[in-house]
Amino acid sequence: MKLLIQKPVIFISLSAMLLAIIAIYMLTIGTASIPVHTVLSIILEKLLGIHNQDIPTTQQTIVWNFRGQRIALAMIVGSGLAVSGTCFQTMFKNPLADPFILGVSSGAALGASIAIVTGRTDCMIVLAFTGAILSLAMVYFLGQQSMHNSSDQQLLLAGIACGAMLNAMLSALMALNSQQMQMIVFWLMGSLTNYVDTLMPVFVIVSIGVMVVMLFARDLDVMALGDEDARFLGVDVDKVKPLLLIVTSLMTGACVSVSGIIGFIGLIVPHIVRKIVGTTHLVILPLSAIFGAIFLLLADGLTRMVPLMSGIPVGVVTALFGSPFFLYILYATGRRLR
Amino acid sequence: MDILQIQSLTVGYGAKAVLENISLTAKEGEFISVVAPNGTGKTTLLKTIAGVLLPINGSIHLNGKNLSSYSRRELARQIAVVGADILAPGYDALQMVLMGRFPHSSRFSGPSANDHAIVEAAMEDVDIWHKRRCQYSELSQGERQKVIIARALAQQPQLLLLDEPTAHLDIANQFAILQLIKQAALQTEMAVIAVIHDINLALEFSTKLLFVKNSQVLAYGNPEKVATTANLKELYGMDFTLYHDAAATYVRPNLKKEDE
Repeated sequence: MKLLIQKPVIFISLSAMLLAIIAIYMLTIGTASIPVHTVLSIILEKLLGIHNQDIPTTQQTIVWNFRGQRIALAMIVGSGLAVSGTCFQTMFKNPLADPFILGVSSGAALGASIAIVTGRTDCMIVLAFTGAILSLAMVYFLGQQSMHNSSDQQLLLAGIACGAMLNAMLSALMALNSQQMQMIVFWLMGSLTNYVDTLMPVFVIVSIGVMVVMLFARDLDVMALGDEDARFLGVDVDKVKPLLLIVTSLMTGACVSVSGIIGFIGLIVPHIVRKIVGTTHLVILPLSAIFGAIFLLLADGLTRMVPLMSGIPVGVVTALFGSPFFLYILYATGRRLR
Repeated sequence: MDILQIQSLTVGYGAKAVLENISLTAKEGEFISVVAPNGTGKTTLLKTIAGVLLPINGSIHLNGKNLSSYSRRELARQIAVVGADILAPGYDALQMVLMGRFPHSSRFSGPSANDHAIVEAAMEDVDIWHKRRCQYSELSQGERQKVIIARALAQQPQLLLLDEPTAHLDIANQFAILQLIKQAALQTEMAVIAVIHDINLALEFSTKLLFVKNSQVLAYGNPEKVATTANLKELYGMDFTLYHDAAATYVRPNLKKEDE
Protein backbone atom coordinates (compact mmCIF):
# COMPACT_ATOMS: atom_id res chain seq x y z
CA MET A 1 0.00 0.00 0.00
CA LYS A 2 2.84 2.36 0.91
CA LEU A 3 4.50 1.72 -2.45
CA LEU A 4 1.25 2.58 -4.23
CA ILE A 5 1.03 5.88 -2.39
CA GLN A 6 4.64 6.70 -3.22
CA LYS A 7 4.05 5.89 -6.88
CA PRO A 8 0.93 7.89 -7.65
CA VAL A 9 0.91 6.97 -11.35
CA ILE A 10 0.50 3.29 -10.47
CA PHE A 11 -2.18 4.13 -7.94
CA ILE A 12 -4.09 6.29 -10.42
CA SER A 13 -3.81 3.61 -13.14
CA LEU A 14 -5.04 0.86 -10.80
CA SER A 15 -7.93 3.06 -9.67
CA ALA A 16 -8.87 3.77 -13.28
CA MET A 17 -8.84 0.01 -13.98
CA LEU A 18 -11.03 -0.58 -10.95
CA LEU A 19 -13.45 2.04 -12.27
CA ALA A 20 -13.54 0.33 -15.68
CA ILE A 21 -14.20 -3.07 -14.09
CA ILE A 22 -17.01 -1.71 -11.91
CA ALA A 23 -18.54 0.15 -14.87
CA ILE A 24 -18.51 -3.01 -17.00
CA TYR A 25 -19.98 -5.05 -14.16
CA MET A 26 -22.73 -2.48 -13.72
CA LEU A 27 -23.61 -2.89 -17.41
CA THR A 28 -24.27 -6.58 -16.82
CA ILE A 29 -26.71 -6.26 -13.96
CA GLY A 30 -30.36 -5.34 -14.05
CA THR A 31 -33.70 -7.01 -14.70
CA ALA A 32 -32.26 -8.75 -17.75
CA SER A 33 -28.98 -10.38 -16.86
CA ILE A 34 -26.48 -9.98 -19.69
CA PRO A 35 -23.14 -11.84 -19.46
CA VAL A 36 -19.86 -9.94 -19.29
CA HIS A 37 -18.54 -11.20 -22.64
CA THR A 38 -21.68 -9.97 -24.39
CA VAL A 39 -21.30 -6.57 -22.72
CA LEU A 40 -17.65 -6.42 -23.80
CA SER A 41 -18.57 -7.34 -27.37
CA ILE A 42 -21.19 -4.60 -27.46
CA ILE A 43 -18.71 -2.04 -26.12
CA LEU A 44 -16.04 -3.07 -28.64
CA GLU A 45 -18.51 -2.92 -31.48
CA LYS A 46 -19.97 0.44 -30.51
CA LEU A 47 -16.69 2.12 -29.66
CA LEU A 48 -14.22 0.58 -32.11
CA GLY A 49 -16.48 -1.06 -34.69
CA ILE A 50 -15.04 -4.54 -33.98
CA HIS A 51 -17.74 -7.07 -34.72
CA ASN A 52 -17.08 -10.51 -33.27
CA GLN A 53 -20.47 -12.01 -32.43
CA ASP A 54 -24.11 -11.49 -33.29
CA ILE A 55 -25.95 -9.94 -30.39
CA PRO A 56 -29.73 -9.42 -30.28
CA THR A 57 -30.71 -5.77 -30.81
CA THR A 58 -32.66 -5.74 -27.55
CA GLN A 59 -29.53 -6.62 -25.59
CA GLN A 60 -27.57 -3.98 -27.48
CA THR A 61 -30.23 -1.38 -26.70
CA ILE A 62 -30.36 -2.36 -23.02
CA VAL A 63 -26.59 -2.28 -22.55
CA TRP A 64 -25.69 0.68 -24.72
CA ASN A 65 -28.72 2.96 -24.57
CA PHE A 66 -30.35 2.33 -21.19
CA ARG A 67 -27.67 1.10 -18.83
CA GLY A 68 -24.84 2.72 -20.75
CA GLN A 69 -26.33 6.18 -20.49
CA ARG A 70 -27.09 5.77 -16.80
CA ILE A 71 -23.59 4.52 -16.04
CA ALA A 72 -21.91 7.20 -18.14
CA LEU A 73 -24.04 9.79 -16.37
CA ALA A 74 -23.03 8.37 -12.97
CA MET A 75 -19.36 8.56 -13.90
CA ILE A 76 -19.56 12.08 -15.34
CA VAL A 77 -21.58 13.48 -12.42
CA GLY A 78 -19.50 11.66 -9.79
CA SER A 79 -16.26 12.95 -11.29
CA GLY A 80 -17.51 16.48 -11.78
CA LEU A 81 -18.85 16.82 -8.25
CA ALA A 82 -15.78 15.28 -6.61
CA VAL A 83 -13.30 17.44 -8.55
CA SER A 84 -15.35 20.57 -7.84
CA GLY A 85 -15.44 19.64 -4.15
CA THR A 86 -11.66 19.20 -4.03
CA CYS A 87 -11.19 22.57 -5.65
CA PHE A 88 -13.65 24.36 -3.33
CA GLN A 89 -12.15 22.86 -0.18
CA THR A 90 -8.66 23.99 -1.17
CA MET A 91 -9.61 27.46 -2.38
CA PHE A 92 -11.72 28.27 0.66
CA LYS A 93 -9.40 26.41 3.07
CA ASN A 94 -12.62 25.01 4.45
CA PRO A 95 -13.14 21.27 4.94
CA LEU A 96 -16.92 21.79 4.87
CA ALA A 97 -16.96 23.43 1.45
CA ASP A 98 -18.73 21.34 -1.17
CA PRO A 99 -19.77 22.07 -4.75
CA PHE A 100 -23.16 23.32 -3.57
CA ILE A 101 -21.85 25.84 -1.07
CA LEU A 102 -22.21 28.81 -3.41
CA GLY A 103 -25.92 28.19 -3.91
CA VAL A 104 -25.65 26.45 -7.28
CA SER A 105 -27.94 23.64 -6.20
CA SER A 106 -30.70 25.96 -5.01
CA GLY A 107 -30.65 27.90 -8.27
CA ALA A 108 -30.77 24.70 -10.28
CA ALA A 109 -33.56 23.29 -8.08
CA LEU A 110 -35.64 26.41 -8.56
CA GLY A 111 -35.08 26.27 -12.32
CA ALA A 112 -36.08 22.61 -12.49
CA SER A 113 -39.12 23.21 -10.28
CA ILE A 114 -40.31 26.05 -12.50
CA ALA A 115 -40.07 23.65 -15.43
CA ILE A 116 -42.09 21.06 -13.51
CA VAL A 117 -44.87 23.38 -12.31
CA THR A 118 -45.24 25.02 -15.71
CA GLY A 119 -45.45 21.61 -17.33
CA ARG A 120 -42.35 22.19 -19.46
CA THR A 121 -40.41 19.16 -18.28
CA ASP A 122 -38.72 19.03 -21.69
CA CYS A 123 -36.95 22.28 -20.72
CA MET A 124 -36.05 21.03 -17.23
CA ILE A 125 -32.32 20.61 -17.84
CA VAL A 126 -32.01 23.93 -19.62
CA LEU A 127 -33.92 25.73 -16.87
CA ALA A 128 -31.98 23.97 -14.10
CA PHE A 129 -28.69 24.97 -15.71
CA THR A 130 -29.94 28.53 -16.21
CA GLY A 131 -31.02 28.66 -12.56
CA ALA A 132 -27.60 27.41 -11.46
CA ILE A 133 -25.77 30.00 -13.55
CA LEU A 134 -28.04 32.87 -12.51
CA SER A 135 -27.68 32.05 -8.81
CA LEU A 136 -23.92 31.89 -9.25
CA ALA A 137 -23.84 35.23 -11.02
CA MET A 138 -25.83 36.72 -8.15
CA VAL A 139 -23.51 35.24 -5.51
CA TYR A 140 -20.41 36.47 -7.33
CA PHE A 141 -21.91 39.91 -7.86
CA LEU A 142 -22.86 40.29 -4.20
CA GLY A 143 -19.73 38.65 -2.81
CA GLN A 144 -17.47 40.31 -5.36
CA GLN A 145 -15.61 42.43 -2.84
CA SER A 146 -14.20 39.30 -1.28
CA MET A 147 -12.20 38.61 -4.42
CA HIS A 148 -10.17 41.71 -3.74
CA ASN A 149 -9.86 41.93 0.00
CA SER A 150 -8.85 38.28 0.33
CA SER A 151 -11.72 37.37 2.61
CA ASP A 152 -13.53 34.30 1.34
CA GLN A 153 -16.05 34.49 4.14
CA GLN A 154 -18.06 37.11 2.29
CA LEU A 155 -18.40 34.93 -0.78
CA LEU A 156 -19.42 31.93 1.31
CA LEU A 157 -21.95 34.00 3.25
CA ALA A 158 -23.34 35.43 0.02
CA GLY A 159 -23.67 31.85 -1.25
CA ILE A 160 -25.46 30.70 1.87
CA ALA A 161 -27.77 33.73 1.93
CA CYS A 162 -28.66 33.40 -1.76
CA GLY A 163 -29.17 29.67 -1.25
CA ALA A 164 -31.56 30.33 1.63
CA MET A 165 -33.52 32.85 -0.42
CA LEU A 166 -33.79 30.52 -3.42
CA ASN A 167 -34.78 27.62 -1.15
CA ALA A 168 -37.54 29.78 0.32
CA MET A 169 -38.77 30.57 -3.19
CA LEU A 170 -38.64 26.87 -3.97
CA SER A 171 -40.67 26.03 -0.86
CA ALA A 172 -43.24 28.66 -1.80
CA LEU A 173 -43.45 27.23 -5.30
CA MET A 174 -43.96 23.73 -3.89
CA ALA A 175 -46.60 24.90 -1.42
CA LEU A 176 -48.53 26.66 -4.19
CA ASN A 177 -48.31 23.66 -6.51
CA SER A 178 -48.84 20.77 -4.14
CA GLN A 179 -49.97 18.42 -6.92
CA GLN A 180 -46.49 18.49 -8.43
CA MET A 181 -44.70 18.42 -5.11
CA GLN A 182 -43.77 14.76 -5.35
CA MET A 183 -42.02 15.22 -8.67
CA ILE A 184 -40.08 18.22 -7.37
CA VAL A 185 -39.07 16.40 -4.18
CA PHE A 186 -37.92 13.41 -6.21
CA TRP A 187 -35.81 15.68 -8.41
CA LEU A 188 -34.35 17.34 -5.33
CA MET A 189 -33.25 14.00 -3.95
CA GLY A 190 -31.01 13.41 -6.96
CA SER A 191 -31.42 10.73 -9.57
CA LEU A 192 -29.66 9.24 -12.56
CA THR A 193 -32.90 8.24 -14.23
CA ASN A 194 -33.98 11.68 -15.47
CA TYR A 195 -34.53 11.59 -19.19
CA VAL A 196 -31.57 13.18 -20.97
CA ASP A 197 -31.50 13.50 -24.76
CA THR A 198 -27.77 13.50 -25.00
CA LEU A 199 -24.97 13.41 -22.45
CA MET A 200 -22.69 15.38 -24.73
CA PRO A 201 -23.14 18.87 -23.15
CA VAL A 202 -22.56 17.70 -19.58
CA PHE A 203 -19.71 15.44 -20.73
CA VAL A 204 -18.01 18.30 -22.56
CA ILE A 205 -18.45 20.77 -19.68
CA VAL A 206 -17.17 18.32 -17.04
CA SER A 207 -14.24 17.14 -19.21
CA ILE A 208 -13.10 20.65 -20.01
CA GLY A 209 -13.65 21.64 -16.38
CA VAL A 210 -11.54 18.77 -15.04
CA MET A 211 -8.78 19.57 -17.55
CA VAL A 212 -8.73 23.26 -16.63
CA VAL A 213 -8.60 22.42 -12.92
CA MET A 214 -5.77 19.95 -13.58
CA LEU A 215 -3.81 22.72 -15.34
CA PHE A 216 -3.89 24.64 -12.07
CA ALA A 217 -3.08 21.66 -9.84
CA ARG A 218 0.24 23.10 -8.71
CA ASP A 219 -1.31 26.51 -8.13
CA LEU A 220 -3.86 24.79 -5.90
CA ASP A 221 -1.04 23.18 -3.88
CA VAL A 222 0.25 26.67 -3.14
CA MET A 223 -3.21 28.19 -2.65
CA ALA A 224 -3.82 25.69 0.14
CA LEU A 225 -1.43 27.87 2.18
CA GLY A 226 -3.79 30.82 1.94
CA ASP A 227 -4.19 33.61 -0.59
CA GLU A 228 -1.45 35.83 0.78
CA ASP A 229 1.26 33.18 0.85
CA ALA A 230 0.15 32.01 -2.58
CA ARG A 231 0.67 35.56 -3.89
CA PHE A 232 4.13 35.71 -2.30
CA LEU A 233 4.98 32.46 -4.11
CA GLY A 234 3.84 33.66 -7.50
CA VAL A 235 0.23 32.53 -7.88
CA ASP A 236 -1.95 35.25 -9.40
CA VAL A 237 -4.74 34.53 -6.94
CA ASP A 238 -6.93 37.37 -8.20
CA LYS A 239 -7.12 35.71 -11.60
CA VAL A 240 -6.75 32.02 -10.81
CA LYS A 241 -9.38 31.90 -8.08
CA PRO A 242 -12.28 33.49 -10.00
CA LEU A 243 -11.40 31.35 -13.02
CA LEU A 244 -11.46 28.13 -10.98
CA LEU A 245 -14.63 29.19 -9.16
CA ILE A 246 -16.42 29.78 -12.44
CA VAL A 247 -15.13 26.56 -14.02
CA THR A 248 -16.04 24.38 -11.05
CA SER A 249 -19.40 26.07 -10.66
CA LEU A 250 -20.19 25.48 -14.33
CA MET A 251 -19.31 21.81 -13.82
CA THR A 252 -21.53 21.61 -10.78
CA GLY A 253 -24.34 23.43 -12.56
CA ALA A 254 -24.11 21.03 -15.50
CA CYS A 255 -24.13 17.99 -13.17
CA VAL A 256 -27.04 19.25 -11.07
CA SER A 257 -29.10 20.09 -14.12
CA VAL A 258 -29.04 16.47 -15.34
CA SER A 259 -29.06 14.55 -12.06
CA GLY A 260 -30.69 16.73 -9.42
CA ILE A 261 -28.92 17.26 -6.14
CA ILE A 262 -26.63 14.37 -5.33
CA GLY A 263 -25.06 15.39 -2.07
CA PHE A 264 -22.03 14.18 -0.17
CA ILE A 265 -19.84 13.14 -3.12
CA GLY A 266 -18.24 16.56 -3.40
CA LEU A 267 -17.72 16.62 0.32
CA ILE A 268 -16.46 13.17 1.25
CA VAL A 269 -14.63 11.88 -1.82
CA PRO A 270 -11.97 14.63 -1.67
CA HIS A 271 -11.51 13.99 2.05
CA ILE A 272 -11.08 10.25 1.57
CA VAL A 273 -8.63 10.75 -1.30
CA ARG A 274 -6.62 13.26 0.73
CA LYS A 275 -6.44 10.84 3.64
CA ILE A 276 -5.07 8.15 1.33
CA VAL A 277 -2.62 10.03 -0.89
CA GLY A 278 -1.81 13.30 0.84
CA THR A 279 -1.92 16.85 -0.42
CA THR A 280 -0.52 17.01 -3.96
CA HIS A 281 -3.32 18.15 -6.25
CA LEU A 282 -1.71 16.61 -9.32
CA VAL A 283 -2.56 13.29 -7.61
CA ILE A 284 -5.67 14.24 -5.62
CA LEU A 285 -7.60 15.70 -8.57
CA PRO A 286 -7.48 12.68 -10.93
CA LEU A 287 -8.10 10.33 -8.02
CA SER A 288 -11.06 12.43 -6.87
CA ALA A 289 -12.48 12.18 -10.38
CA ILE A 290 -12.03 8.41 -10.41
CA PHE A 291 -13.30 7.77 -6.89
CA GLY A 292 -16.21 10.18 -7.39
CA ALA A 293 -17.22 8.10 -10.39
CA ILE A 294 -16.75 4.81 -8.50
CA PHE A 295 -18.70 6.08 -5.50
CA LEU A 296 -21.69 7.16 -7.56
CA LEU A 297 -21.59 3.98 -9.67
CA LEU A 298 -21.67 1.85 -6.51
CA ALA A 299 -24.46 3.92 -4.96
CA ASP A 300 -26.46 3.63 -8.17
CA GLY A 301 -25.62 -0.08 -8.33
CA LEU A 302 -27.17 -0.57 -4.89
CA THR A 303 -30.47 0.90 -6.05
CA ARG A 304 -30.41 -1.48 -8.99
CA MET A 305 -29.23 -4.62 -7.23
CA VAL A 306 -31.01 -4.47 -3.87
CA PRO A 307 -34.77 -4.84 -4.45
CA LEU A 308 -35.55 -3.01 -1.20
CA MET A 309 -33.71 0.08 -2.45
CA SER A 310 -34.98 0.11 -6.00
CA GLY A 311 -37.29 3.06 -5.45
CA ILE A 312 -34.81 5.17 -3.53
CA PRO A 313 -33.12 8.03 -5.42
CA VAL A 314 -29.36 7.71 -5.69
CA GLY A 315 -28.83 11.02 -3.87
CA VAL A 316 -30.38 9.45 -0.78
CA VAL A 317 -28.14 6.39 -1.10
CA THR A 318 -24.97 8.49 -1.36
CA ALA A 319 -25.84 10.22 1.90
CA LEU A 320 -27.13 7.06 3.57
CA PHE A 321 -23.95 5.09 2.96
CA GLY A 322 -21.53 7.94 2.46
CA SER A 323 -21.93 9.53 5.85
CA PRO A 324 -21.34 6.43 8.02
CA PHE A 325 -18.36 5.51 5.86
CA PHE A 326 -17.02 9.03 6.26
CA LEU A 327 -17.58 8.92 10.02
CA TYR A 328 -15.68 5.63 10.13
CA ILE A 329 -12.75 7.20 8.23
CA LEU A 330 -12.71 10.13 10.67
CA TYR A 331 -12.84 7.72 13.62
CA ALA A 332 -10.07 5.51 12.22
CA THR A 333 -7.82 8.50 11.48
CA GLY A 334 -8.46 9.91 14.93
CA ARG A 335 -7.43 6.60 16.50
CA ARG A 336 -4.28 6.42 14.39
CA LEU A 337 -3.30 9.96 15.39
CA ARG A 338 -3.66 9.07 19.07
CA MET B 1 23.31 48.60 -8.44
CA ASP B 2 19.97 49.54 -6.91
CA ILE B 3 17.68 46.54 -6.65
CA LEU B 4 14.84 48.49 -5.10
CA GLN B 5 14.01 52.17 -5.35
CA ILE B 6 11.15 53.59 -3.36
CA GLN B 7 10.15 57.22 -3.77
CA SER B 8 7.66 59.20 -1.70
CA LEU B 9 5.69 56.03 -1.00
CA THR B 10 2.46 56.14 0.97
CA VAL B 11 1.03 52.78 1.99
CA GLY B 12 -2.23 51.73 3.60
CA TYR B 13 -5.49 49.93 3.04
CA GLY B 14 -7.90 51.48 0.57
CA ALA B 15 -7.53 55.24 0.90
CA LYS B 16 -6.46 55.06 4.55
CA ALA B 17 -2.73 55.78 4.78
CA VAL B 18 -0.79 54.11 7.57
CA LEU B 19 2.72 55.09 6.54
CA GLU B 20 3.57 58.15 4.49
CA ASN B 21 6.32 59.56 2.34
CA ILE B 22 8.86 56.74 2.51
CA SER B 23 11.88 56.93 0.26
CA LEU B 24 14.65 54.36 0.31
CA THR B 25 16.96 52.41 -1.94
CA ALA B 26 18.23 48.89 -1.43
CA LYS B 27 21.44 47.80 -3.11
CA GLU B 28 22.97 44.35 -3.53
CA GLY B 29 24.16 42.91 -0.23
CA GLU B 30 22.41 45.57 1.84
CA PHE B 31 20.48 44.71 4.99
CA ILE B 32 17.91 47.37 5.85
CA SER B 33 16.06 47.06 9.15
CA VAL B 34 12.74 48.79 9.72
CA VAL B 35 12.38 49.60 13.40
CA ALA B 36 9.18 51.05 14.80
CA PRO B 37 6.79 50.67 17.69
CA ASN B 38 3.85 48.28 17.26
CA GLY B 39 1.05 49.21 14.87
CA THR B 40 2.99 51.60 12.67
CA GLY B 41 2.31 49.87 9.35
CA LYS B 42 5.59 48.01 8.94
CA THR B 43 3.89 44.87 7.67
CA THR B 44 1.77 46.98 5.32
CA LEU B 45 4.98 48.47 3.95
CA LEU B 46 6.47 45.02 3.31
CA LYS B 47 3.29 43.80 1.63
CA THR B 48 3.28 46.86 -0.63
CA ILE B 49 6.92 46.30 -1.58
CA ALA B 50 6.04 42.65 -2.27
CA GLY B 51 3.36 43.86 -4.69
CA VAL B 52 0.48 42.34 -2.73
CA LEU B 53 -0.96 45.72 -1.78
CA LEU B 54 -1.17 48.68 -4.12
CA PRO B 55 0.62 51.86 -3.06
CA ILE B 56 -1.63 54.82 -2.28
CA ASN B 57 0.98 57.23 -3.56
CA GLY B 58 4.57 57.25 -4.75
CA SER B 59 6.51 54.69 -6.75
CA ILE B 60 8.34 51.41 -6.28
CA HIS B 61 10.92 50.29 -8.85
CA LEU B 62 12.48 46.85 -8.90
CA ASN B 63 15.62 46.65 -11.02
CA GLY B 64 14.65 49.92 -12.67
CA LYS B 65 11.16 48.75 -13.68
CA ASN B 66 7.92 49.78 -12.04
CA LEU B 67 6.68 47.05 -9.71
CA SER B 68 3.26 47.00 -11.38
CA SER B 69 4.82 45.98 -14.71
CA TYR B 70 5.82 42.58 -13.29
CA SER B 71 3.52 39.55 -13.29
CA ARG B 72 3.00 37.78 -9.94
CA ARG B 73 5.21 34.93 -11.08
CA GLU B 74 8.01 37.27 -12.17
CA LEU B 75 7.77 39.06 -8.85
CA ALA B 76 8.01 35.80 -6.91
CA ARG B 77 11.22 34.97 -8.78
CA GLN B 78 12.76 38.17 -7.50
CA ILE B 79 11.09 38.91 -4.19
CA ALA B 80 10.66 36.41 -1.35
CA VAL B 81 8.67 37.17 1.78
CA VAL B 82 8.93 35.64 5.23
CA GLY B 83 5.64 36.70 6.77
CA ALA B 84 3.47 35.76 9.69
CA ASP B 85 3.12 32.16 10.83
CA ILE B 86 0.79 30.24 8.52
CA LEU B 87 -1.22 27.05 8.81
CA ALA B 88 -0.54 24.36 6.25
CA PRO B 89 -2.47 21.22 7.03
CA GLY B 90 -1.07 18.09 5.45
CA TYR B 91 2.24 19.41 4.15
CA ASP B 92 5.57 18.23 5.47
CA ALA B 93 8.55 20.57 5.88
CA LEU B 94 10.16 19.47 2.61
CA GLN B 95 6.98 20.12 0.62
CA MET B 96 6.73 23.57 2.17
CA VAL B 97 10.26 24.51 1.13
CA LEU B 98 9.75 23.00 -2.34
CA MET B 99 6.99 25.54 -2.84
CA GLY B 100 9.73 28.15 -2.92
CA ARG B 101 10.64 26.70 -6.32
CA PHE B 102 7.09 27.13 -7.65
CA PRO B 103 7.77 30.43 -9.46
CA HIS B 104 10.89 28.97 -11.08
CA SER B 105 9.49 25.65 -12.29
CA SER B 106 7.12 24.81 -15.10
CA ARG B 107 3.41 24.40 -14.43
CA PHE B 108 3.46 20.80 -15.69
CA SER B 109 6.79 19.23 -14.86
CA GLY B 110 6.96 19.94 -11.16
CA PRO B 111 10.22 20.40 -9.23
CA SER B 112 13.37 19.19 -11.01
CA ALA B 113 16.47 17.54 -9.55
CA ASN B 114 18.07 20.99 -9.49
CA ASP B 115 15.09 22.35 -7.52
CA HIS B 116 15.49 19.52 -5.02
CA ALA B 117 19.21 20.28 -4.67
CA ILE B 118 18.51 23.99 -4.03
CA VAL B 119 15.85 23.09 -1.45
CA GLU B 120 18.14 20.65 0.33
CA ALA B 121 20.92 23.27 0.49
CA ALA B 122 18.53 25.89 1.87
CA MET B 123 17.21 23.49 4.51
CA GLU B 124 20.71 22.45 5.47
CA ASP B 125 21.70 26.11 5.78
CA VAL B 126 18.97 26.89 8.30
CA ASP B 127 19.51 23.51 10.00
CA ILE B 128 16.05 22.08 9.40
CA TRP B 129 16.86 19.35 6.83
CA HIS B 130 16.65 16.67 9.52
CA LYS B 131 12.98 17.61 10.05
CA ARG B 132 12.08 17.46 6.35
CA ARG B 133 9.65 14.54 6.76
CA CYS B 134 7.88 16.08 9.77
CA GLN B 135 4.45 17.59 9.32
CA TYR B 136 4.89 21.35 9.07
CA SER B 137 1.94 22.01 11.38
CA GLU B 138 3.43 19.75 14.05
CA LEU B 139 6.77 21.58 14.19
CA SER B 140 7.45 24.15 16.89
CA GLN B 141 6.94 27.80 15.99
CA GLY B 142 10.69 28.34 15.79
CA GLU B 143 11.12 25.34 13.48
CA ARG B 144 8.25 26.54 11.32
CA GLN B 145 9.96 29.91 11.07
CA LYS B 146 13.14 28.18 9.90
CA VAL B 147 11.15 26.27 7.28
CA ILE B 148 9.66 29.50 5.91
CA ILE B 149 13.10 31.14 5.89
CA ALA B 150 14.48 28.11 4.00
CA ARG B 151 11.59 28.44 1.56
CA ALA B 152 12.42 32.10 0.98
CA LEU B 153 16.10 31.24 0.40
CA ALA B 154 15.08 28.46 -2.00
CA GLN B 155 13.19 31.09 -3.98
CA GLN B 156 16.63 32.59 -4.72
CA PRO B 157 15.27 36.13 -4.67
CA GLN B 158 17.09 39.37 -5.35
CA LEU B 159 15.10 41.02 -2.61
CA LEU B 160 14.22 39.29 0.64
CA LEU B 161 11.49 40.80 2.81
CA LEU B 162 11.40 39.62 6.40
CA ASP B 163 8.59 40.39 8.83
CA GLU B 164 9.97 39.76 12.30
CA PRO B 165 11.98 36.77 11.10
CA THR B 166 13.33 35.88 14.51
CA ALA B 167 10.19 36.40 16.61
CA HIS B 168 9.94 32.75 17.66
CA LEU B 169 13.61 31.85 17.77
CA ASP B 170 15.89 31.52 20.78
CA ILE B 171 18.84 33.88 21.02
CA ALA B 172 21.32 31.45 19.47
CA ASN B 173 19.02 30.83 16.52
CA GLN B 174 18.24 34.55 16.20
CA PHE B 175 21.89 35.32 15.64
CA ALA B 176 22.55 32.21 13.54
CA ILE B 177 19.64 32.86 11.16
CA LEU B 178 20.31 36.57 10.73
CA GLN B 179 23.99 35.89 10.18
CA LEU B 180 23.09 33.30 7.57
CA ILE B 181 20.75 35.72 5.82
CA LYS B 182 23.36 38.46 5.87
CA GLN B 183 25.98 36.12 4.41
CA ALA B 184 23.53 34.94 1.77
CA ALA B 185 22.80 38.57 0.92
CA LEU B 186 26.50 39.26 0.37
CA GLN B 187 27.17 36.04 -1.53
CA THR B 188 24.15 36.11 -3.81
CA GLU B 189 24.02 39.89 -4.13
CA MET B 190 20.58 39.99 -2.60
CA ALA B 191 19.07 42.94 -0.74
CA VAL B 192 17.25 42.38 2.54
CA ILE B 193 14.57 44.51 4.16
CA ALA B 194 13.63 43.25 7.61
CA VAL B 195 11.10 44.42 10.16
CA ILE B 196 12.88 43.80 13.44
CA HIS B 197 11.70 44.63 16.93
CA ASP B 198 14.97 43.91 18.68
CA ILE B 199 16.99 47.10 18.20
CA ASN B 200 20.20 45.32 19.21
CA LEU B 201 19.74 42.67 16.51
CA ALA B 202 19.03 45.45 14.04
CA LEU B 203 22.24 47.22 15.09
CA GLU B 204 24.23 44.01 14.81
CA PHE B 205 23.26 43.09 11.26
CA SER B 206 21.94 46.14 9.43
CA THR B 207 23.75 48.25 6.90
CA LYS B 208 20.92 50.79 7.10
CA LEU B 209 18.18 51.54 9.59
CA LEU B 210 14.74 53.01 8.99
CA PHE B 211 13.04 54.43 12.09
CA VAL B 212 9.31 55.05 11.74
CA LYS B 213 7.11 57.00 14.14
CA ASN B 214 3.55 58.32 13.77
CA SER B 215 3.20 57.23 10.13
CA GLN B 216 6.34 59.17 9.18
CA VAL B 217 10.00 58.38 8.69
CA LEU B 218 11.86 59.54 11.78
CA ALA B 219 15.34 58.73 10.52
CA TYR B 220 16.91 56.73 7.70
CA GLY B 221 20.52 55.90 6.90
CA ASN B 222 23.62 54.34 8.38
CA PRO B 223 23.10 52.78 11.83
CA GLU B 224 25.60 55.18 13.48
CA LYS B 225 23.67 58.14 12.13
CA VAL B 226 20.20 56.81 12.89
CA ALA B 227 20.59 54.95 16.19
CA THR B 228 21.24 57.99 18.35
CA THR B 229 19.93 58.43 21.88
CA ALA B 230 17.80 61.34 20.66
CA ASN B 231 16.17 59.26 17.90
CA LEU B 232 15.63 56.31 20.23
CA LYS B 233 13.96 58.55 22.79
CA GLU B 234 11.76 60.01 20.07
CA LEU B 235 10.92 56.52 18.79
CA TYR B 236 10.06 54.79 22.05
CA GLY B 237 9.41 57.68 24.43
CA MET B 238 12.10 56.63 26.91
CA ASP B 239 15.79 57.28 27.51
CA PHE B 240 18.44 54.89 26.21
CA THR B 241 22.18 54.58 26.67
CA LEU B 242 24.38 53.53 23.74
CA TYR B 243 27.32 51.24 24.46
CA HIS B 244 30.19 50.67 22.07
CA ASP B 245 32.83 47.99 22.29
CA ALA B 246 35.25 46.49 19.81
CA ALA B 247 32.70 44.03 18.43
CA ALA B 248 29.43 45.90 18.41
CA THR B 249 27.20 48.79 19.35
CA TYR B 250 24.24 48.06 21.54
CA VAL B 251 21.61 49.98 23.44
CA ARG B 252 19.87 49.59 26.74
CA PRO B 253 16.88 51.53 28.10
CA ASN B 254 17.56 53.60 31.20
CA LEU B 255 15.21 52.01 33.70
CA LYS B 256 14.06 53.94 36.72
CA LYS B 257 15.64 52.66 39.90
CA GLU B 258 13.14 51.19 42.33
CA ASP B 259 14.11 53.54 45.20
CA GLU B 260 13.60 56.65 43.07
